[in-house]
Amino acid sequence: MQRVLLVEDDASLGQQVADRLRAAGFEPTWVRDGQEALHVSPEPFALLVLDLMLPGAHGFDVLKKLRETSDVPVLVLSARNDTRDKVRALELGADDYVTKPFWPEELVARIQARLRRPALQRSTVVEVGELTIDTQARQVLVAGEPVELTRVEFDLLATLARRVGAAVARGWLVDRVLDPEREGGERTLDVHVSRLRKKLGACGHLVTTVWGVGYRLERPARP
Amino acid sequence: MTLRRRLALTLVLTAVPLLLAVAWARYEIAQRYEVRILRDLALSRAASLGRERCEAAPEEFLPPPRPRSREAGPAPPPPPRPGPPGAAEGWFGWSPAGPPHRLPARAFAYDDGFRSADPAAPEFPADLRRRLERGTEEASRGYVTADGHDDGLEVAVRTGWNGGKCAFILARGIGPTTVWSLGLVSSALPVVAVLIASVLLAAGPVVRRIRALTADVRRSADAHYEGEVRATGRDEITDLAHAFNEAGAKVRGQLATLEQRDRTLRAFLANTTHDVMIPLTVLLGHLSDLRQRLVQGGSVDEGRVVPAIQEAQYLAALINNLGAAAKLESGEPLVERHPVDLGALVERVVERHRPVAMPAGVAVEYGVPERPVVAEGDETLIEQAVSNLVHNAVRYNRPGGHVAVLLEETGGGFRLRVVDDGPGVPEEELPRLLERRQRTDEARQRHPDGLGLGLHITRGVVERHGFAIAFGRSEHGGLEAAITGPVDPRP
Repeated sequence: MQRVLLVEDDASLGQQVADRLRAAGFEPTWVRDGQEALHVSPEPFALLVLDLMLPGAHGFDVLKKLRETSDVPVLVLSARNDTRDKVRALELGADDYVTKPFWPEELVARIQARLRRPALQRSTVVEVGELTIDTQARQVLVAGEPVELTRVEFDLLATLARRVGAAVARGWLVDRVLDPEREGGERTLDVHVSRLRKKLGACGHLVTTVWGVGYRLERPARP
Repeated sequence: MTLRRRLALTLVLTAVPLLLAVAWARYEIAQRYEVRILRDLALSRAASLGRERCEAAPEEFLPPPRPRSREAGPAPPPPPRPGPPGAAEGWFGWSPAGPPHRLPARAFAYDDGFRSADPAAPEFPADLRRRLERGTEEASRGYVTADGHDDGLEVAVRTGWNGGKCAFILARGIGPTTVWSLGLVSSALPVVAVLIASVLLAAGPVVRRIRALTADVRRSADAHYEGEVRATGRDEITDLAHAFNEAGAKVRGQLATLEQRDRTLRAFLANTTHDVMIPLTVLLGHLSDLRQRLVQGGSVDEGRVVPAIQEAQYLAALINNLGAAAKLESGEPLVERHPVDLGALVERVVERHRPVAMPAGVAVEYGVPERPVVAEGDETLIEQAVSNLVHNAVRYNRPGGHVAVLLEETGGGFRLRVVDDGPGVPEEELPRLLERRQRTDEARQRHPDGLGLGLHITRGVVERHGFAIAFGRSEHGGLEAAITGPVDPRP
């Protein structure tokens, strides 16, 4: 279970966020004072949720002090919809911000997104559930069994696999995956995707159509 | 210190020391000159007499001139008055010859013991004697003459004829003995006084004009800089008056701007309060309704909660939009300009709207390029502009509908599209979406259908950033809004 340090002075908001974090599977530690936050070691935490307007010490000070020793991701809660605050927070090393008012789902989504980074797959082997894609060897396994793919199908899957969970635009795929010398339009792309799904069999459902955008290689549901 | 007092003081402080310095220098020169004359008189007399004749009749060294008729022998020649020609001319009202000598110059011979055989000789002055005894060749001092004037000058010289009755000569004449005796200071003082008086007189009109200007400025300031001050004449004071009038015009301009801003702000506050209270009241109604159903033992299905969620979302959007409107309507240039990661911005906007769209049955998706697309601008405003488009796309959609936000980089620029499959807007009404709305104080007119204010803000933000926006029918039957603009060239 990942630990999250929550620095928020407001009692109701802090309680709500802490409850939500717990419900989302995190283990929150709630600190309500800037001074106290200055003295908490960031070591055991996977991420920090930091409010800026704090008694004791301003959130910027907490951030500055933290960044002297730690690279732990920091998500700032900005009370005012003030650009200067956000820019300053990012300059001081915050990774992201959420402005109030926010939906609890929104905050959890931002935290999860931050903890998933880097989104780009650096490794040459991507595993998504039963599906294994080795971009170096240009080999695809479904439940350990190799699957024969055409060049276009493989490039398509590899492109999606570079950003698992993110929708990739059709235009992008058409430009980069289809053979420009042959007739290459979005219709052709759809045909390739449909063949790819069939070949992937049990894992075919992982390649989803994203309305209005394109296609996505889904992250399997967390166990 | 007033101007006049300062002028007078400056004059006094410069003129008096200068005058004293000149008087002192003049006195020094004149006194040295007279001392030299007396010394030369004594020495030339001694030289013409010779030691023997002098010692034979020391009392006859330089007898007072006698009436010519009773004179037996040839009268001693009048004492020579040597001196450089030129220098004899008067200087500051005084000539080396001085005022007509009241007393003729006299000289007396003294022996080694400073005693004179001349019964008319005065007692040798003690201080001169001390100085000669110390070995000096000559010494001089001032003294009070027999007729009571203090301009007597005594010069004692050593003849070198030691041991006789003419070892020392004391010559007496008159000359300047103090700084004041030349009369320079006393005669120049009235000149200085006249000078000061004339300067003060000349300062009079200046002071009067400055006072008048001061009064005018006070009056103008009291009247909120409405009236101008008089600017007559053609001098520095006129320039000052003009400068004040220019400053006054600027102040008036700024006051007008501030008052306008104040009015806008007050109207904004009133409108905001009004605008916010309505959705807030609706929200309270929803919550009260939910509670009542629960209290009465009824069940609450999702369909009852969704309107409350939507209303809360609308409320948040409204407040953000009103804030953005205030920023845009102030007419100030964009202060905040920094690189904005549009991909992250799209992600944030979509995640903000999903919690509302999902229960309403509307799917919101987004697609952004792998590489960050960075534009320059005010992140808060751009986010609000995109958020408004997504908000409308969700709000005017139906259950089972879709909204997609697509960000693409297009050779030096970006294209951000918000596409939906909602009912869309009839072709002929599309241009109306972009019509410039008149700014009205009546809040309800700003967004009669809730769509107006948001699009108004989006349009304002796009314009202010130099982006472009276009509306069209999406290929899925709904509305497609596309914002295009340049990407930040900085790495």
